[in-house]
Amino acid sequence: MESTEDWAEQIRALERSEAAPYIDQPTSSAWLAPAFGAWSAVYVAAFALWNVSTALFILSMLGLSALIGFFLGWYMRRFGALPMPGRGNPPPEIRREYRLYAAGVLVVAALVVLAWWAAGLAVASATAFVLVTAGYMLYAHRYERAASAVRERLQ
Amino acid sequence: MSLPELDPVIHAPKRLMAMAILANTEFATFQFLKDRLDLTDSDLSKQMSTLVSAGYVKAKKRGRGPGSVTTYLMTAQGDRAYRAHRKALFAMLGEDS
Repeated sequence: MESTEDWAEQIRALERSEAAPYIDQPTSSAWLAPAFGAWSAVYVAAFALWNVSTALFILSMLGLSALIGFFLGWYMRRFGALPMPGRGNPPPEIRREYRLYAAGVLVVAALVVLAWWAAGLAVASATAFVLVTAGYMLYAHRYERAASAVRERLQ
Repeated sequence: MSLPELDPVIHAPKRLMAMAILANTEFATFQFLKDRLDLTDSDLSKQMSTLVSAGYVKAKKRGRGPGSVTTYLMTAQGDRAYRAHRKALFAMLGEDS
């Protein structure tokens, strides 16, 4: 018969395991933020193809989506596991960062659309590069701080 | 809440921890699980085989020979079983899951 202490210890161990994919990650590489920024800039710029050829536009969108898919696959295999947003039980500290990230994506998208409307596609593409690069750097910094807080709490 | 509500396949601590990791990731490699659970190769293989046999986990192998990588992912059946087990475990301590 297991005691209450045994159950409590099992739950603590379970929480540590659940948190592992979120907190046992390497620190974000310095090149990652500008790489995401460049990808976003190219993605926005590709909308110029819409007026040239619909087929070319669709191909470019598929190519860019495949590129990000390959990258994520490589990243996951390299580090062994990555969190799966939308399932599982992220630690509350990480969940808060996810919510801010989602809000940040909406704000960046709105500003890029605004830049496009006000100044054209080239400016929108440059805006995407700057905002995504800076936004990802900020997110990576905040995420690392949240992960440290989780590691400390679950020690 | 009584003991029979706990899943005997998942209740073993090593398997419970493996399921807890897999419930929070798309997949995990053999090495990731081994490092986090602090198990030997043979012990982890044995635990994962039990989960695969129960239909809770799927194993995929990429490549051949020494460079091959085995990854594990949780099935929908495994996800349901894990969530039910987790809920029962938390209920026993009167905690919110």
